[in-house]
Amino acid sequence: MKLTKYSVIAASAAIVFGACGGGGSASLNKNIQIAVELPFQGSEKAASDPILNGIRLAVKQAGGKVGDFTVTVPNSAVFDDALNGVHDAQTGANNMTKIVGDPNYVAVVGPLNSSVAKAEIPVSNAAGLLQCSPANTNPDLTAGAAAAALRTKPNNYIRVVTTDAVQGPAGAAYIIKELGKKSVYIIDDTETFGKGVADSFEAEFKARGGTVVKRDAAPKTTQDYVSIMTAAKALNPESIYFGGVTATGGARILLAAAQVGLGDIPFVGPDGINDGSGETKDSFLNLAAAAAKNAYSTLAGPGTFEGKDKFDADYKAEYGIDSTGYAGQGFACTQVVLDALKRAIATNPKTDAELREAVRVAGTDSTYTYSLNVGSVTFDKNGDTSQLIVSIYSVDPAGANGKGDWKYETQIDAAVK
Amino acid sequence: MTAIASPAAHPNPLARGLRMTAIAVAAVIAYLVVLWMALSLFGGRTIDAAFPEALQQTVNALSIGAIYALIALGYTMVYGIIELINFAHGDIFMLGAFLSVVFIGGITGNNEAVTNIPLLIILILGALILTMPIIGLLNAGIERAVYRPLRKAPRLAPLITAVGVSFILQNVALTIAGSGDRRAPQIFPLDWQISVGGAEISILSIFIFVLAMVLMLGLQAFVTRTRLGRAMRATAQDQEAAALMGVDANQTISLTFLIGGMLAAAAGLVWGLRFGYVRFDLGFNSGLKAFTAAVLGGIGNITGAVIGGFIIGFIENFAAALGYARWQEFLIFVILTLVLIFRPTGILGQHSGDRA
Amino acid sequence: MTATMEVRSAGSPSPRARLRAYAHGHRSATIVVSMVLITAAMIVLAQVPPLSLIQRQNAWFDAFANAGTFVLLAMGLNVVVGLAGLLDLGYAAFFAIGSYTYAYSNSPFSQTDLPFLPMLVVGAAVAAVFGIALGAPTLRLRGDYLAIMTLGFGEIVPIVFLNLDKWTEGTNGIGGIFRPEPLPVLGEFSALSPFPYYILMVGIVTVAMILLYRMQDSRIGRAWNAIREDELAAAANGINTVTTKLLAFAIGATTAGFAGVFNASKLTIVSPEQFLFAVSFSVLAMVILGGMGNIWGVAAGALLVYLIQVVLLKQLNGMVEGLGIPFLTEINFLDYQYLLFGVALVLMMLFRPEGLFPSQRRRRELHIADELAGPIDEPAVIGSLGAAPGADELGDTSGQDLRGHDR
Repeated sequence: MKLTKYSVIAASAAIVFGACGGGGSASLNKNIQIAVELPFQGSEKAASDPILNGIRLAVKQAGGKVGDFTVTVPNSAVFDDALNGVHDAQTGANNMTKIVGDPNYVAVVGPLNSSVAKAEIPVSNAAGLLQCSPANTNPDLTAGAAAAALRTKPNNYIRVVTTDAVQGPAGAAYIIKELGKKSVYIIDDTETFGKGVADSFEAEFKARGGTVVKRDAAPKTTQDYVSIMTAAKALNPESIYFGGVTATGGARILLAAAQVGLGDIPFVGPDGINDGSGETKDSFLNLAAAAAKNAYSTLAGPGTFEGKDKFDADYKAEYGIDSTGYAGQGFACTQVVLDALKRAIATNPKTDAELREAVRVAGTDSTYTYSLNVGSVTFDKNGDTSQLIVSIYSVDPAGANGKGDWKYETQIDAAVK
Repeated sequence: MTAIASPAAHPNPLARGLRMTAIAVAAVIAYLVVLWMALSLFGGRTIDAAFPEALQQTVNALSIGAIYALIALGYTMVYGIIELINFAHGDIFMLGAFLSVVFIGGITGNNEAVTNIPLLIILILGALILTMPIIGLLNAGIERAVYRPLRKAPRLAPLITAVGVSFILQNVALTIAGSGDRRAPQIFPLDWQISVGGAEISILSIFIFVLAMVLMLGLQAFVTRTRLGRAMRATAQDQEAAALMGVDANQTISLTFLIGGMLAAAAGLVWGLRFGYVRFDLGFNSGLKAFTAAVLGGIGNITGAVIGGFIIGFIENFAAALGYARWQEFLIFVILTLVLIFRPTGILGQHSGDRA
Repeated sequence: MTATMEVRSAGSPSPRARLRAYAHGHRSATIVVSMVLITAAMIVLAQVPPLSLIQRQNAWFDAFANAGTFVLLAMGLNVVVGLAGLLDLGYAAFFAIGSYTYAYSNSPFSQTDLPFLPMLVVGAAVAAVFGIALGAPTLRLRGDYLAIMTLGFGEIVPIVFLNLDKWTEGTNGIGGIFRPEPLPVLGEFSALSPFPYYILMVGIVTVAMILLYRMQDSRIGRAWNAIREDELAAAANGINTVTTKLLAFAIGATTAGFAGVFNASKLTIVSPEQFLFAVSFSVLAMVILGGMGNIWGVAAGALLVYLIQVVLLKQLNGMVEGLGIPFLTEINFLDYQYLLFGVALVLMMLFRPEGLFPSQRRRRELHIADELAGPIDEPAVIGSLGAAPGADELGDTSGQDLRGHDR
């Protein structure tokens, strides 16, 4: 151990050397970028691609400019938080470290998954970088002690979708009021989103006087759904609620339900099963096919809004495909960022750091009303949207060339309950 | 040394068969009664309502158990003959399921049930005749390419190779078919049911059970009554002695992989018919459960694997029936652990020397 | 081992050989010096092209710190798989246990805030206890049963954390975990400065490496070797095989526990989905690619594989996209990483079972089979290798049936 003394010196030298690096520039760069942080592997790629398209469409429609600043979303600004084919919190946090360390980025749009957001918010918050999620619906990200634990500085995180705490209850209200069913069998996929939305559904369903015949859960690795649905059948539910997404078993459960004779009662699920028409590969309607005739889905955003037709047409014109999933929400997030940037520039920031902070302050301003493609929106001090609209879709078996498609039914606005 | 069980050694095969059948029927009835009681005591059902439900669940358990048993046979045979846990066997099953989807989907072009009975039989038989040899040959080919060169290597080497092969097969399926569920055409009409004791029993589950039984009895007959089967048993017992007696060990081992692959392919076909979907990672959990079944029955033992498969089916079904589906895997692994600790030779296994 | 090395260096007194001999004699000091040099080199490398072009310095430190987690995991698994020859397919379970232990001791969920360094030890100890609890009844089993048992354990642990949501926050995971309190020299740990994490990780890896090398060179290490090579012979030579294997298992679990505590304190969230089979498999691939049995080798293998996964493949995507060749831009290289892992594992086993950075002993051991076998159709000549090149210690497999000894 003779060398220990030297190694200590060497180590301290290394530390000093390392600490010298980095440091932001004191100038103001007018070529700025919006970072995008989404999973782009496996099945989640299908959800992230439309969001990225929506983001780029919004930048393009703004002419790529805000004042005398150019705004771009180059491929180098698009970060992938998937590892081994599925979203990964560690990778997300690592990406966020990269993003906050680069003064070119004034804001970040993403992520897709709430569990990734939990690892990212501490980083983006400490750096004071505006973060807008087009798809996180977990309530713990914004409100309550759990959310506070993620933050060390003033809030920097907003989202344009409502939380599961709104989407689940909307499903419950629809089943009881519109479909007239008084009892339900609930099954979730044991994952963050699925369980959360099923929890809030269950609470609301009970609060409205409905009967929950059974609350079940089956992880996505379950093999034999027929046995589970046989047990459900014996409880004679008037409807079925599934908390989860197609990839974690939505269609499998419906197929098994149809097989045991539960095919004629309403099957209601969250936006996770509203993933395209029967023509879309891997989608709920494609897999469930004829069994989906009594399926309904909720979507945590307005199904019809003033700018919807325009957005859809623009999207189609730009990319040659229909907009799906949260494309409109990706667009909306980017509108928020660009709007905040405009107001930030008006405060005459002198450095990159000042601009970033000004964008954060403007973006999270709870008194400001945004005019987005989805309508007029404000964000509360936690970053939650004022737009508590959940839209309901049913299945039109004749849609999409007879393969079945989702058909907008109605929307429920929890704000005017 | 484990060995593929040799029921031919029994003085009276017919009596043994009858005894086994009686035990099996008694076990199924016992499960039915236990489930019936459990449902009415803990499930909140009335005793009258619980019976048809329990009956239906028992049939469900036999269906899924039959699928596990078919897969487990591949594990047990391979282990019996070269003492390798063929980690990739579950993925062979998955590829079998995919191949039958491609075949049936390619011919029917849609997902609709085929009510024309002769046509249905032709389709299913055709799918079996096509997929079983292809998947069997694939399995044997894998053995030839990567396991055989390692037969004399330290034991860890082929095992790690098998893990690698498993990931290759999964990711090949992932690359070709994508990561989501794929629709499997349910050509067997699901509304064909018969009413028994107030329960609606689907003909499909009976078909799955019968098909699995036919294949397993066929295997049993092959192993006990043919020259090649005898060579297989001999190789399992003592490879070198068998070689001295003129048995071609390589050929026999290839044959074992071939048969294991064929049975897995059949399991894959009925999987698609029953559950209506296939996915690239289907083989991982199915494989684990089937392997557990093989260990439970006594690895290396053909009858044991079948029994183990059904036991796993029953355990899984029991959890689902009482609303604890999310604990299924937990239960199965706890049982695996307990079996390995207290009776590592399994229910029917012979004593194995290497327990150090 | 030592003897062999010295004989060789005596034969060729070049400076390199002398350095090697010195390094062998002063292993701990060598490790410390090497780690310091590597750490400093990585700090420098992160600030100059080409690395500085790929991502900023802080992002590199962050990546290095995360890679360190996998280096630790790989070194730990190496004890189990590489040294003792037991296949553990559920190693992520111990990583999970370490992570959750820290989460319970330092989060708003448990409302406790215990100091980091002691918890590092506690987390490792808890993981070790679970390792022993799992190992004690199962290590009597034959090796391939053990593989399945550990696989089962690896599946069960996330399921339990997932399903007992009252105590574990279930699928949401425990979030808002407190970071380590400021440490002397390193300063404050924050989300924005990965540098202290990096240095801390280097420290943990260094300590772990010293301890593991000492263990490997000690009586215990030789016992592991003996068991791996021939368990019966080892037992016949008076080694208590169960205790020795159990120790390997416990050491492996301990190392994973360290990694878990560090991981939780850095990521600030633990949830069951972080500990699935993919993690166990990745770490196993790292060990095998790096070279089973060689501590430096697996550490290098882990660093390499992690950086390839997280940095290089993504970079490759960007570069290929930049080329603008229509067919190639469609390829997402990340989608193929498991396929590559699988292929690499199989090819390694077939052609280079000793890994990329093999240990001398392991290489000799693994190639005995080649020398022995010839065409496999003919039974190998048995017992002719009593003086195999590696037979300088007890229990070197003297060319007995290498597949096992259970007949």
